[in-house]
Amino acid sequence: MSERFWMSVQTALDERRDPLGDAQVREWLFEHPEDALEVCELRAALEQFERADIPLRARRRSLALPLAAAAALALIALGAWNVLRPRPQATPALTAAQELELHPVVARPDLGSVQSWELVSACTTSEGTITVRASEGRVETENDFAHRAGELARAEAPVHHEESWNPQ
Amino acid sequence: MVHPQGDSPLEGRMAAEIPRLRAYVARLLGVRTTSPDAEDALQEVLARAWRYRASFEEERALGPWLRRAALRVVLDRRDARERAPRVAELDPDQVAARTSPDLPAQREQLERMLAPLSPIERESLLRFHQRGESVAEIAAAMQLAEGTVKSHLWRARRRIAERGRER
Repeated sequence: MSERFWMSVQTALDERRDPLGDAQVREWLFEHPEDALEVCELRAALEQFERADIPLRARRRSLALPLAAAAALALIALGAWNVLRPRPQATPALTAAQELELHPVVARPDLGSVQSWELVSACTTSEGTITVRASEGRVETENDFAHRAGELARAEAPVHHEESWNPQ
Repeated sequence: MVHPQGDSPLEGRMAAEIPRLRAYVARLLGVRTTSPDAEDALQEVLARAWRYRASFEEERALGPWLRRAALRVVLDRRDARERAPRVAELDPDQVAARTSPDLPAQREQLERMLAPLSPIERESLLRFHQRGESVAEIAAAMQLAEGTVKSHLWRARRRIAERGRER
């Protein structure tokens, strides 16, 4: 925009004249109708200032609001830090499955109740092998000495066994 | 008058320019595009343009030609107001608007206009245009040279005008 044009506008305003009444301003504006918007809006703004009660100096903004906002932000940040801060690793609670893996419990086999029993013991000596078979109410011994001697020796002795068997 | 489905090529071109022309007229008048003032002025512009259509060269851009016509209408209206006796201007609504401009929304709007100014530019501008002080009085009050006050005033006005252009 031409400085000369603006000088005409400013001079008119300094002299408290309407720039739109100035011949030089008009001449420019008819050539550049878009520039009329700026002049019209400036004019309208200045007219508004004439009627408005605006303080000469801009009011300083109160510090109360920014301070309150800063305090609120600080509180929020503190709360967030308290929630999100890293904590020392606590012993995690184990699930039953993990506990079992770490400390396996060997299930005691259910033996049930004894229906019959038999113990067999064999003893080999320089003379031969002696086998002892024990079962409920009966002990039987056998050796192979007789094979060597050419006779079979067999002894049977009744056993009185009164002891009760409790597998628990 | 001009209808969107105009018969002649110029009529059709003018119809296409109407929305932009309406906005331009409204800004010149400082009113909303929907205001009756803007509509009234727009109709006058279109009527004038149609009356002088013989002066329009078809190969030239229509927009600037119409804007020139609009400017002429607005300036004629301004001149007519200037010539009219002062009492004719004082209808009750205008009196109310002139005596009670201090609504919060208006104050806020004015403060926004002043926001880009430096404190010294703001004070110079308000002393001159609001309080009606002369440059010499402002210079004395602010302990500045008159030339300095003038340059602050000029700069303040340019900033406000530029703000208007950015809108």
